[in-house]
Amino acid sequence: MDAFLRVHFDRVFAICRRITGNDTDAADAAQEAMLAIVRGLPRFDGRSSITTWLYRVTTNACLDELRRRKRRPAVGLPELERLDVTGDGPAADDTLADRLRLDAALAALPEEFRVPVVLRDVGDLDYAEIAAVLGIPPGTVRSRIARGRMALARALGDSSGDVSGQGDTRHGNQLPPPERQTDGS
Amino acid sequence: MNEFLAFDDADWELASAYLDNELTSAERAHVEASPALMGLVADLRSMQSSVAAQPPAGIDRDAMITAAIAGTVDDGVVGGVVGSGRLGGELEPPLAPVTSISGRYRRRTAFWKAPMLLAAALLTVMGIGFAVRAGSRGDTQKTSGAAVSAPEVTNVTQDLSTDFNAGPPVGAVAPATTAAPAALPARTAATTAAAATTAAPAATTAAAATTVAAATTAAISSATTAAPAASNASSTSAPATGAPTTAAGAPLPLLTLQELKDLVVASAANPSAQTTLVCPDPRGVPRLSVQILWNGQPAIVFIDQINQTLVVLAVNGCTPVANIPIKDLAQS
Repeated sequence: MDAFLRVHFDRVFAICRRITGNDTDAADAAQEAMLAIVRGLPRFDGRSSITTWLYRVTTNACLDELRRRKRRPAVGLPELERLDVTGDGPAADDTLADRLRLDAALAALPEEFRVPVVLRDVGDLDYAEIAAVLGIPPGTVRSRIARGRMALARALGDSSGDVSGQGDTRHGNQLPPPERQTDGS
Repeated sequence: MNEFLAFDDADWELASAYLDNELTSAERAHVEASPALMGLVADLRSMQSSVAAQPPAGIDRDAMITAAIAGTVDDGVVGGVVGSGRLGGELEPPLAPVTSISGRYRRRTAFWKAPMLLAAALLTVMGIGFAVRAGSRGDTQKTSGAAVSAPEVTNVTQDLSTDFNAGPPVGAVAPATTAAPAALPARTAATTAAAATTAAPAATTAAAATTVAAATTAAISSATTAAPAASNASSTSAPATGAPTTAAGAPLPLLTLQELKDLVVASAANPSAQTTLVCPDPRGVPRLSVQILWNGQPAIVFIDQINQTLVVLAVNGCTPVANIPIKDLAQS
């Protein structure tokens, strides 16, 4: 069990960090996920791959953490205020600013787009695995990831430049249009 | 240059799926035929790398894993909330209760269970020792509430010596312990003198707490750093009669109730100093044992809580020389 958790912990925490948007909530979510994994692993029946099950548990822990956060009073500066650190500082400050900008853009994405993007880009799951984790058809996964990336690119481009958050502004800042049901889901 | 606003939803989806290698061959060919789409793919790849790259987190990875494995939530519980609209799937286990940040790494109650069990075992053995000492002094005075009287102790130990072929019964050994104070090392003389004045009530208390206390056949001595002489006793050749002694014939120091309590506390605080932990339990249950004389030879006695037996081991080996069911010792 210990070895299993150590193998997967870093990715679990990385997913939690991207979904929740900050280290504190990510640590709480990751801990809840690890506890749920420890408790649930003996009951795992093998109807899905172990990694699919693990990421489902992790994703649920993150979403629960987000719901709890909504019920808690906000403490500290809002994410958008932290973006004001941008300026003509040294490269390290620019890197920090880029990271904060990306964090903020991801945090601003609706959950339905952010979660599949994170599972794909951070968890490295393919569409079928994401579909199994989220319980939605693969076609919807493809659509949501595309729309999530589009919104992310627009948000980053609006604030600083290119889609990676490091270039000039080339596109607007709009949330993606309502999702197309490309697969009948 | 990519003019992203010029791309429609289908283009974004194609570029995104191309990036993830989730296109059919026909779709793939369509994307690769379009420089604009390939430019969009390149930008998306850059963004994907940014999302995937994360700075090192300031978390205690090992502590979180250890806490998860310990799996005990002892404090900081603020709710066991399960949000509505959870992602589907019957495979998911129930989520653990939510804990506060401050209590995140404090789920270690389980680690204290072992010391508590050890303390309980030691107190039980203490009761055994004090009961024997009280009996060995010929103290026939019965105190109210005492569960066991001296004659009963003798009878029980006679039975034990018969059952386990354990040599001289306690009755033959115990009286000699009354002569111990005069011969004790200086360090323990005062302690033992004090113990002599408190042995009877202590035995009464111990006997009331556990009827097992009536069953022992030996006087307790220390196997800890507080009693270095005891460790020397492992070289055997101690005389088979009289008070507990070391191999050189010096009396083994006796512990007061307070000293035994201190031993338990010290052992719990510093597991590496638990010199009384011997013979690893195959079930992984730590056992706090106390060194005694068994048929005049140094031995280790401990309570096997699982099998409910009093186990006596040769001090230089892990093979039990006696294995006494506690139920056989009970005098209730």
